[in-house]
Amino acid sequence: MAATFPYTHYACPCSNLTTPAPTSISAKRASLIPVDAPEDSTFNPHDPRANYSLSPLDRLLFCDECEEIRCQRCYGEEIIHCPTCLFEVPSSGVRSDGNRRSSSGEEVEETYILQCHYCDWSSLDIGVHFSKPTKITEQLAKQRKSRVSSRSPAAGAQPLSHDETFANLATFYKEQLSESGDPQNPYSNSPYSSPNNLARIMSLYGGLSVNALKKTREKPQPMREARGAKEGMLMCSFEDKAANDALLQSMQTLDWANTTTTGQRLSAPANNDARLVDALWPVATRLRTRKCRRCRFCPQYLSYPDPKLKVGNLRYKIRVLALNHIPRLSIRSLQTSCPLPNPAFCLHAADLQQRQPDIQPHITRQYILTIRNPILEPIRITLATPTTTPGRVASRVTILCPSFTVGPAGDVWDEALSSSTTSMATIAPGNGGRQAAMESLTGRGADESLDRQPEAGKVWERTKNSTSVVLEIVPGALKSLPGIVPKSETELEEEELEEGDDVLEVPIYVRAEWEVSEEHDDAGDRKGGKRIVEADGNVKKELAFWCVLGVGRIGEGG
Amino acid sequence: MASRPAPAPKRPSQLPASKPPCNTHPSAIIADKAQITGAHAVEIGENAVIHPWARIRAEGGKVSIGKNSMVYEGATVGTVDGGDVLIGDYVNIETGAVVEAKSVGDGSTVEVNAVIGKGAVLGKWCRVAPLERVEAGEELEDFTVVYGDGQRRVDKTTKEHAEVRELKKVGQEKVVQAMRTLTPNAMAKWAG
Repeated sequence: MAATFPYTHYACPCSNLTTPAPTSISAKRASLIPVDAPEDSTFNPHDPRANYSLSPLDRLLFCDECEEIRCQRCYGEEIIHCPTCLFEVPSSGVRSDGNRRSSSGEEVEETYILQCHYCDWSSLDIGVHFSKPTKITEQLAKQRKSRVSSRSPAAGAQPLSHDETFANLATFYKEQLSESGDPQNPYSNSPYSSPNNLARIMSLYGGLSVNALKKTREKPQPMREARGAKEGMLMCSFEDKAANDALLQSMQTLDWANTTTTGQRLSAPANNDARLVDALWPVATRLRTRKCRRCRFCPQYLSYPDPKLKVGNLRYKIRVLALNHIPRLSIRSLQTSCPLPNPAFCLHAADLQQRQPDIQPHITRQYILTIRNPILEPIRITLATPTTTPGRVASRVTILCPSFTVGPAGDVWDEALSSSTTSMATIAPGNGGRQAAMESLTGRGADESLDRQPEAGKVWERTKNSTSVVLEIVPGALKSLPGIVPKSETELEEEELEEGDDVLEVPIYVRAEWEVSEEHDDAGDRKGGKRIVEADGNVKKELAFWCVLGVGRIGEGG
Repeated sequence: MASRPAPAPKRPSQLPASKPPCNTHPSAIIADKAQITGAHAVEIGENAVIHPWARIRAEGGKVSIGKNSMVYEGATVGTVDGGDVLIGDYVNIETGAVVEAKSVGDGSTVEVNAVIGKGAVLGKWCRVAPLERVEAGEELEDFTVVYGDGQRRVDKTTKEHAEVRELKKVGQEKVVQAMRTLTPNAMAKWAG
């Protein structure tokens, strides 16, 4: 649920709660026609399962092959660039430094240091400088090794370094795996797939030597853990009192800011043991995985980022967003004229917390619902909503004009060149006077009074690619009125408000219909056959989905 | 030491009502659109650059800007009622910063949109990262860096390596030179 009102969430047709309506071109989907007509099965936004199918517009992609909305569950992700195996990375990319901290060219006899431009840390703090500005990772690794090795002879019985311990442990585990028998190979069911299995089967039927026979009788040892430093076990000992005391001493004299955080310690294996900030070692920036998204039903790419490395901004080769393909709804109150502050633009956390005033129950309120059309054809919209909102609190909702058209989105030039549209927001070119300026500012004719009444069956406002209609909502009360007969226990329990019940959410079923001329209908072409071409060479298209408008919170009052 | 403001010549569109007595070094550059207001003395040192739209408020006390220092656009130096403000040498007060400190040590940098409260004392070679705050009355030791979300650390590199300090000074001188060529000087308007 969004933190601020008003919001719009769209329901992906993938779930049972939002079965797609039978459409005129859905003859091939006859098997999917639901038992009850869509008007009977309304979408209940308060249903606990509803959360899983609702997403805000920025999470939705659109498959233009299937011509359906795709939510996060409907698209699969694939890796196109993997940092671990460095597939697709040219070797020059590996060697050069992609470090966050650029080496500053502070040259003193041709030595270089790493310096942070933000906090002024420099590698001189740890005593590291470089002889050349390239191959930083290499130089860093060399210096680290020499530092570690110069430290260990001095300390006597020093435990093995991290890298050696890791190598020992890896070898040990590999041995254990081969000795104790292979876990089943997930990729093949053949009994001959692993050499271990093969050897075992062969030895069952006639080993060639005494040893082989013995082995068949012995049970394989279960896999065990490492048992000593040689096998890779890392032991903590409390015996090294001197080092611990020194550490405690320095922790007491230096302050909190000088100790490392867990995040800093985990940034690299070299830093795992560093307790003080001046023991940290610089770490190269990790490479990141690039993923692409594909529709789960047809293998069409929905989002394909540019796999080229080292691009500052992520560019996309393919990106198909729901934003650009489905009609977008937004709602705002008719009474308030000033637009509410967009939460994305709030500078201070305090502004975000500002709650809008609660909606009073039983008082009719009017809201303006705006539909924006992103595609290039004019669309016919039909809206449907249940008379009372489903859920614990029943509010009455009336759409004053449920059926209307929305113009196409187009270039700005189309608008300027077209002579007459019904838009009230276009400025007639010749009329550069104050009236036109007023019109453009208020979006209405200057001669209309500002308090015109919404009328049933009429559109409220129409601009080039959006249309607004009025919704009347009478919020229900949170608690029902006390009746004459005292309520039984079960009834009282049922009346308990759950979290989220006081949020006024209106489910709306949106159906958009439009026509595309046959040669522009690429998706229909690819599907092949089956589409119905009208007499004038146009193909009918339709898109329908549920969406939920979050209007506000209902307060006490009644 | 409140002296009467010098009488303003009759060019109402350009001059503020009260021009404080300015003691500016002849090599300093003060932009035309800079705003210097107040009744107390204002002292501007050698090679200093005051960018356009910088605001120097000598209303609460005198303001003194050291050698090779710069006050960038939109920055505000000086208090309305809080006492003198002394900016040292080689100091950069970057865009939008508000400095009401009692003193800012040599070599320090107050970065973009930072806020230094009244009466604070910044040591030498300090650095206040963008949008950070130094509370009123707070004293920062030399070589302190204020960064992150109010965190402080000691800049070991600058503290322990004299050559880094030298390099920073040389760097600052170069930047000042570049800014001098870019900013047309309107010192005549403010001097005397």
